[in-house]
Formats: sequence, structure tokens, C-alpha cells
Amino acid sequence: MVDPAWEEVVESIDSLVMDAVESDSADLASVVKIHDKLIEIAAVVFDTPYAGIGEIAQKTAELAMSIVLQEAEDPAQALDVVVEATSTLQCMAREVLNDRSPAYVPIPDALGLNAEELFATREIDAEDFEEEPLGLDDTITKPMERMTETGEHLAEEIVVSSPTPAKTKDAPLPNYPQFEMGSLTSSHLDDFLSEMDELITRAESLLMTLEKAEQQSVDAIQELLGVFHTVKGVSGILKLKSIIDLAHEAEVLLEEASHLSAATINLLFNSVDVFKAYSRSLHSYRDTDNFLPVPQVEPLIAKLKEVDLVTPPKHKPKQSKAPELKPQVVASDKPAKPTTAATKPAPPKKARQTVPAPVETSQIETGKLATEKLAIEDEDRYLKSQQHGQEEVKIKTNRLDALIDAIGELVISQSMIENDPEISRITRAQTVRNISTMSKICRQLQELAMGMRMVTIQATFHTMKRMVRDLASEQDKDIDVMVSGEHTELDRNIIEAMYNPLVHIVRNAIDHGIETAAERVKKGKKEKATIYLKAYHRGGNIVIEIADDGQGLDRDKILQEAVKRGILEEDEQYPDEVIWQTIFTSGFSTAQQVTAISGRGVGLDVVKKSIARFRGIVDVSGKKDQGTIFRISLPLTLAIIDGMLVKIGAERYIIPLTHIEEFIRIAPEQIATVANQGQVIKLREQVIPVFSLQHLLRVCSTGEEHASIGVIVSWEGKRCCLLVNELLSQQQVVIKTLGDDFNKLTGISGAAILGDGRVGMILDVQNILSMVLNATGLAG
Amino acid sequence: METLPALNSSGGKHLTFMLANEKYGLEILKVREIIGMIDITPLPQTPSFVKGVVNLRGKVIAVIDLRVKFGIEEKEYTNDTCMIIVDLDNKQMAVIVDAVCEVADIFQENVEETPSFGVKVKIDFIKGIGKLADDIVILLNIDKVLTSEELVLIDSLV
Repeated sequence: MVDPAWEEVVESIDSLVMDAVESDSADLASVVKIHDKLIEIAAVVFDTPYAGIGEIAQKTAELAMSIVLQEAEDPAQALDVVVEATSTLQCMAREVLNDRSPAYVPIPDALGLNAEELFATREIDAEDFEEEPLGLDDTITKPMERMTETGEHLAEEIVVSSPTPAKTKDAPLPNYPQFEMGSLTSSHLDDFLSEMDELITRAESLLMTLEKAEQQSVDAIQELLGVFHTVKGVSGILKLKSIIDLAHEAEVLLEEASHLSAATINLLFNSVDVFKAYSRSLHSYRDTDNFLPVPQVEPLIAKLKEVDLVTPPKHKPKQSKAPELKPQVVASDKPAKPTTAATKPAPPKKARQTVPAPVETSQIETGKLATEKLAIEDEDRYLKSQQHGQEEVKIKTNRLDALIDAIGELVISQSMIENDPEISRITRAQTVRNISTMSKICRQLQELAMGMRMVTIQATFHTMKRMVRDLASEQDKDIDVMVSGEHTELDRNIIEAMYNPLVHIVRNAIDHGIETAAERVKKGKKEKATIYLKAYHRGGNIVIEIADDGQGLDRDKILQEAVKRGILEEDEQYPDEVIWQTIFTSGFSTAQQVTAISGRGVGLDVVKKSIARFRGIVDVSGKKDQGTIFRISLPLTLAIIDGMLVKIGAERYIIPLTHIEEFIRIAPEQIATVANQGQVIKLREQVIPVFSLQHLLRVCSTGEEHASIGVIVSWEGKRCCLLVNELLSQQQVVIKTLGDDFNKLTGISGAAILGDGRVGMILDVQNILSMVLNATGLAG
Repeated sequence: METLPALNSSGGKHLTFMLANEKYGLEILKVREIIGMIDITPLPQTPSFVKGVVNLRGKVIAVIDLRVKFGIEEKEYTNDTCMIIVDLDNKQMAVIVDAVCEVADIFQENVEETPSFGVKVKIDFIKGIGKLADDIVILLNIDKVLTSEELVLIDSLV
């Protein structure tokens, strides 16, 4: 059977071929476009049984990239191969459409791919996917894909709660961490905090696994025990009594347990939250010398002590054993000293041996053994669990930043040397070769350095999972989280900045998107709702998708509200995208009532702004009762952009290519004045407002020049024409910040060092567009 | 001799430099380096004392002309004109001065409190007046000089 979505694939390949045929190896932008389309196609196709086609697309995309990066020996010839390969893809796609195998279409030799191998092995892979949607393939997972294919989707109330208010359920009297720094230095504190944070993450993921598992494995419980034990150990260094007591109590409980009830797991989650609160508090102490309040541990310890271990029915003796055991455990607890934490498991162990519990003995025995070894092993084990055979070294981020900065400087001075007129006059072959070797090494270094800034999105997704779990149980909803592409790497700064927007969107999905179980059943949906978190690459961007299968967006309601607010006109026909975009307007909310968490219309506009700050775009789509998809598209790295170097007045500026639609030559008489205020030009029957950048930015003028070139820029459907004096060249530039003092500059997002070593400003097109169009009312 | 508790960091080595015919000094610990004039890229929408930004080995740093900042009449840059790169809390800035003179030891006992010139003259960026053998040096609190004023003109654009 041919998947109905395949037609779309064929369509996009067709458009690709059209682009490819018209491309020219000298016109890099056209090649980049081809590359992006290829990657897009590859991503979609990889998830079908015809992954071989994806492989070809991928390979072709690589080739296209090599042309762009000027690595191809003969760009024109390489482009020919690319064009040929696109035709191949076209043929293959049609074969598939007609229910025939694509394996018989000849593949261009230059790609170095073997058709039979490609399709034989790949088909097996595709089956693997089926069974394990969360497999290592970062690009796409099944459930998500299905969703996009059938075009399901989302949220009726698009609300907009204020950025997740911090939980303020603290005790009336703030409690602060009690600990002794003694002779300890702040570096001990650093070590403690970094270790603690890792342990917290580890504990959470173990707890979540246990919570979901049908059959809880003793190993997992033991590992959790190990984590709590280590928490106790590291807290001993700082003599954090509350943490030590709490961790100890949890440990005692876990030593006993062979099965954890939902309530117990909840208690353990709460304990981990306490660790978190302490960690946050100490973080703040380290950074600002102020503690944040932390919750009291005593009630929790008491609850942990009360836990009646729920055992699987066959272990009946256990129930009667529990009360007997408790006093002993409590007794052994008292003499325990924090500093001797590592040796502490010994006394409780002895006490327990006297307990007659035949069925349990072997398990307790193993538990004990494990505990003894744990002190030595848990660190090893912990490392092992994360490294997958690769050694890792912890490096302080500021050192890493310094290294990356230094490499950046190296690359810049290298390019200055290379472009120096004196140097380019050198003809001696050896010298020229040496210089080019140096350039190559510099580029390599730069790539490596960029790579070091990248971290996977795994930790963020992990936090989201935890949040969904908490919120779902709070609101009595049953929600599953499906994650894919968690190994996708993003710039560290972007990941940090994406945290709040993601929290917001996920919260919205739970609060408003997903219905209660009863409603879901009524609508004929599965009782258990699902939230999909997905990250993947698409055309030089990273896309993060947050989707749910809740009640979706209510088109009519949103349109109504948008009309009420004067954002849209009542009788016009709008495409869905335009309507969906309105929910990102400040103050927008369709909620009938303002509740504690939502309805005030603050939120999605903030989300949008914080994403836009990183040159990202967010959009939303969905259908009533089928679900909502938020798609955040972010640049791979913050550090580099493709830009067009232009001359404005006496200065040079860089306009990011992503915003440029086209360049036009403008004669003064083409510009018409509107009401003696704004200026417009007519371009292909459309009227576009014109602004002189020199005027807007107040750039000094040298006097005689005349701005005759129009750069048409667009963002979110807004367009305008910016006048510049001269187009200089297209180049990749490394973005440098101007620092806090200058972040209020309008229309300028940063600076870049140009080939000659001088500084050029990077224009903030979004900012300019929203400013000029709002000011003149010529939008649209 | 009277000690000035608030000034206990004002003693020690200072880099002295000229602006018009006044001699100024700033703590050597704040000075990262001294460079000759290099190409400055002007920044739009900034007050006139912000000359623009320069590329200092890959870092983009702002340049402030102290003459303009202190309201002294501007003059053509000469061979003696140079930029002092100063380390502030979390960033660096370059200041343009007419010429640098020397590194002088100015001991605490030779520092006097800034005389008052009446309320109209803003002198909070002056830490004190240092006395040398045949000269006086105006000791600057460079952090205050560079951060006391907004560096961007807010009313800009359209």
C-alpha cells in the first residue's frame, strides 16, 4: 500500500527538481535552497519503508553542502551530480507512487551508493522503527509523524497563562538550609552542586521508569537506592543535616522494598523535590550570598517512615513484618552521623537480619551486598550509564567560553592574513600551500569549537517529562509523554533560553489542550492523552515540536476574538496560519474566565518574543478535537549568520539573508510619496513601503551618495523595502554582542568583524519592520 | 595626616594621562592595555562621547572619547592620541585620551579629597586629587565615568 502522504513527497521532490535545474554553482543561495529541500525530504522519507531514498537525498544534500562550503573540487560538476540525483529521486518517488520498487532506478555513480544494499538493509531498519518509536534516530518518530500526516490537532483555549508561577506552597516561616561551610571553599560547594544536580536528574529518571514499569525491576530500585545513598554521602561533606536525614530515610525504605506503590513513588518524588529546593537555595547562596527558603523535611521524613511497603500479594508475611521492623530502623537512625555516611548502612543491616522473613531474605541479601559495594561503585556506575563508551571530562563553562573566544579570534586574524593584499601577492607555491593548510586547520578548529558549545536537548525534555507527570496528577489527567530526537544538539545558550517557553507551551497543553479522561472518552478518544516532544534538524534549523492530542484550536473562537481586538477583519477569508498567529498577540485570550493560572492573555507573546530573540520562529497549527502542534524553529547556532554586506551612508551593515527576499534597482522617479509622508514603490503590482536606512538609523553620510538599491525584507508576512547605497558581498559572519549598554539600540542586533578587521553592525530586520510599519500604518 | 577611609584603594600605582592640559590618573589594575588609534566604526543613536566600536583582537568593544565626555573641546587625533582599554566589572571599554604619560606611585598620604566646586559641577567620578612632586593628578573612578550615563539615546528612530 502506498502511504497517502507519499504524494506530498513526490510534490516536494518535483519542486526540488525545478529548483535544481535552474540552479547555478556560482549562485550559492540556490544551492543552499536545494540542500535545505533535500534535507527536508530526507527527514520525511527516512520514516517510510523507503529510507533508501532518504539516504540518497541525504547524500545529495551533503554534496550540495560541499559546493556551498567551497569544498567541492569542481563545483559545476558537483552540481551536475546533484541535479542528476534529484532526477533520480523524482523517478524513484514515482515508482513508489505506482507501487513499484524504486531499487531499479539507476543511482548516479558519483554518489557512491549501491541501490540493492540501500533498499535491502534499510527496510529492516524501518521495521525496527515500528517497534521502537523512541529509537536513536533523531529525525522523526512514528507517532508524531502519523499525527502530522493526518493533520490532526489542537487547542480551543489558547491561553496564555503567565509564565509558570513558581510554586509558592512554602511553609509560612521560610526555612533556610543549615549547613557548615567550615574549612570548605566555594569550590567544594561547586562540586557538591554539580554532583547533586546530576543525582537529582538520575533519581527522577529512575523514579519515572519505575512508575511506568509494569514489573518493577529490583535492579532499578537498587540503583535508586544507590543514588539516594550517594546524595547522603555528598551532603555529608557540607553536613546538610536535613538532606542527610531525608536521604537516609528514603534509603532505609528502599532497602526494604521490592515493589514501590504509586504513593511511595510520590513520596520519593517529593524527597527529590526537597533536594532540588536545597540545591537551588545553595546555588543562589553561591551566586548571590542569599539563601532561598527550603521546605521543612520533617513531615516528609515522618511520612517516609510510615510507608507500609506494598508487596506483591504472594509476599504476605511482609505486611506483618513492617511494624516490627520500624522501631529498629528508627533506632539505628539516630546514632548515625552525617560524616560517616559511607559506612552507615552497616547497623541497619544487622538489625534486619534478625527479622524472620524467609521469602524476602534473598532479596534483602542482594540489597545489602549491593549497598556495600555501592559506596565504591555508584560513581562508576553513574558515569558508565551516561558515557556510552566515551570518556567525558567536566570543564568549567567559563574556560570553555574562553577557549571558544580565543579560537574565534584566531579564525578572524587568519582571515585577515589571508585577505591581506601583501599576502595574496605571494606566488611561491610552498608558502601558498602553507597558508592554505593553516586556513584549513583554523576552520577545523572553529568547527570543533562550535561543536563544544552544543549540548543535547535531553535534559530539557527530561524536565518537561517530570513537569507533565506532576501537572497531570495534579489535574487528574492521564498523560503519556513521547519523546524523540532527545539527542539533537543545540547551542547551550539557546537550550537555556528555550526552557521557559517550553514550560509555558507544555503547561498550556496540559491546562487547556488536554481534556479530562471523561471528556476524552465521550469524544471517542483514547483515555490516556499523549504529549509529544520532538526535536529534529530541518534545513539548517533545529525544530522543536510540542504536540498534544487534546481539544485543539478553535478556529471560530480565535477569529471572533481577533476581530474583537481589531487584529483581523470580520468578513475576510483568512488562511488558518494567519488566524493561528494571532494567538501570539499580547493580551490575547479566548478564556471566558481569568483563573489563577491562565486567561490573562500574558504568555504566548512572551514565548514568541523570547524565541525571536534567538532568531527563532514559532508557529502553531491544529484542528478542533485533534490536537495542537507548536513548532519552534531555531538556528543551529547563535554564533554565525549568513548576511549581505551593504553600504549605508558611509558605513557598512550586514542584513541577515534569512530576511532578504530580493534586491531591486530603484530609480528616484519610481518612488511615490503618500500623503507627503511615507514613500512607496510598486513592485509587480504590489505596493511596498520604502524606507531609507540611512535616515532610519541616522547613519552619517558622506554627502554625495544616492541610495539606489532596494532590499526587500520580510518577516511574518510583513514586507518593506529598505534603501541602501551599495551591495558589497554576501558573507558568513560571526555574531558579536555589543554588550548590555547597547542592547537598546533600535534596528541593530549585534556586530560582526568583517574581513578587513573593522566592525560592521548587523541589522535587526524584525525590529526595523515592526517599528516602521507600526509607526506608519502601512503594514501589509 | 588625615586618612580617608573611603579612599583606601586609591593609593598605589596609577596610569597617568593627559586631556587638554589636565593630568588624570586611573588605577593601574583597571588598565588592560594601551593601544594606538585604530579604525572606529560609529554606532548610530548614541551620544556624541560614544565614538563607536572597535575590533580588539576579535572582541567588539565600545570606545568613549573622554574629551567629549568631560565637555572639553574636541580636537584632531594626533600621533600621541591613544586608547586605554579598561577592565570594568564584566566588560571592557576603550577610552580615548590625548596622550599617556607614565605609571606613577601615588601613596595614600598624598591623596586629598576632591574639593567641592559647588553643586553644579558633577564630580562623583573623581576619587581624589593626587599630589606628585611637581604636579597634581585627578584620580578617576573609571567605573563611574563609564557607567554614569546611558550610552544609547532612547528617543531614537522614526
